[in-house]
Amino acid sequence: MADWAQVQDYGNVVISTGGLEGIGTQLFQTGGGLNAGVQTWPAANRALYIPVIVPTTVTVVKMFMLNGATINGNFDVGIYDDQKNLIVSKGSTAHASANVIQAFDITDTTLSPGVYYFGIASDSATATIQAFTNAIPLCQASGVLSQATAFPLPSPAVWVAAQDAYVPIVRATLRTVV
Amino acid sequence: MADFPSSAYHLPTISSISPEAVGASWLSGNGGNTYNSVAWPAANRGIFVPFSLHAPYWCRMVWWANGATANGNIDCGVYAVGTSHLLSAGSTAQAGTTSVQSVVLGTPVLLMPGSYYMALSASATTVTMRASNSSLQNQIGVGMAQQATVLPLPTTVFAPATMANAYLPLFGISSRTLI
Repeated sequence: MADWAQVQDYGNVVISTGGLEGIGTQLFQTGGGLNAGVQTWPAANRALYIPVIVPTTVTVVKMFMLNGATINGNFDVGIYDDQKNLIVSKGSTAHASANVIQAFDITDTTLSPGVYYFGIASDSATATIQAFTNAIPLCQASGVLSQATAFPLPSPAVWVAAQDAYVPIVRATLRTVV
Repeated sequence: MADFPSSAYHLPTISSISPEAVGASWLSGNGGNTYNSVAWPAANRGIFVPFSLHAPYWCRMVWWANGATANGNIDCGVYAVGTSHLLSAGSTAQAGTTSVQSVVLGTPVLLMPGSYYMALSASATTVTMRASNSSLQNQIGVGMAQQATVLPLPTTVFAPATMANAYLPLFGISSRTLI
């Protein structure tokens, strides 16, 4: 046991690429203080990988994103470790329902504390979801990675530097109710 | 002291505006910024941005975000607060416009929990970086400092001086070798 009370970060029930556990601070700052808006997916079959910190052991049960007005094609979402290995993904899922949260019921997955990457891919170049559109170097400076021809999400990932001015807001939740 | 290791981690990329650096303080004092291409304020000046680590961090690469004009030479490194130079790229020709330039360290450096400065210096005022040149007083307020005539970055203790120009460049370190 510790001699003194320790400050323990237990995280939140929702882990977000746009949160403090993700890269939200950097994106908000370099985006001129603008919040994420609804944006068109950058390229068909593109996968994007955004780093997040999981501060304590958690079991993730769903992932979700906010759809825009244009519904098209299919999406896949998943979680990678920092060695590019796919831990869990939903698989190809039809993009469905405009302007609402779309949830993906992934296999319940326990994550130990550490650094992970949320992956998201789409086979559409017209689908819209909530995302930041900071310039490419600003996305790179925030740690975003990319992969072409990566739908559905591959295992392992083959990362390259971010190629698009696009950082989707992807979230994972520890509860079944989104 | 704790008997067991804490479950603390850092994201792979730590920048001058990350939460580990001046991110939250800068945001609360100055809001979001655009980080456009801005000319370096003075030849051979070094700009030092404080950051802290709450967990061990392997530094494998340093990087900076070039502006619209690439010119002169750059150095980027890390100093421990109150002590000495820990790592740096060495004087490096600025290359590539409106893109991130990086240098992989010959040997990764393990940074332990503590307080540090990340440092960036440039040889000429024709160098441009993505930077915020907004609010000198807020930049002083978040702990930024400068030093004259530090290209390449010195391998000694740095002597902080008060910031003379508002200039917060976007640069940092990475535990990856891919930016």
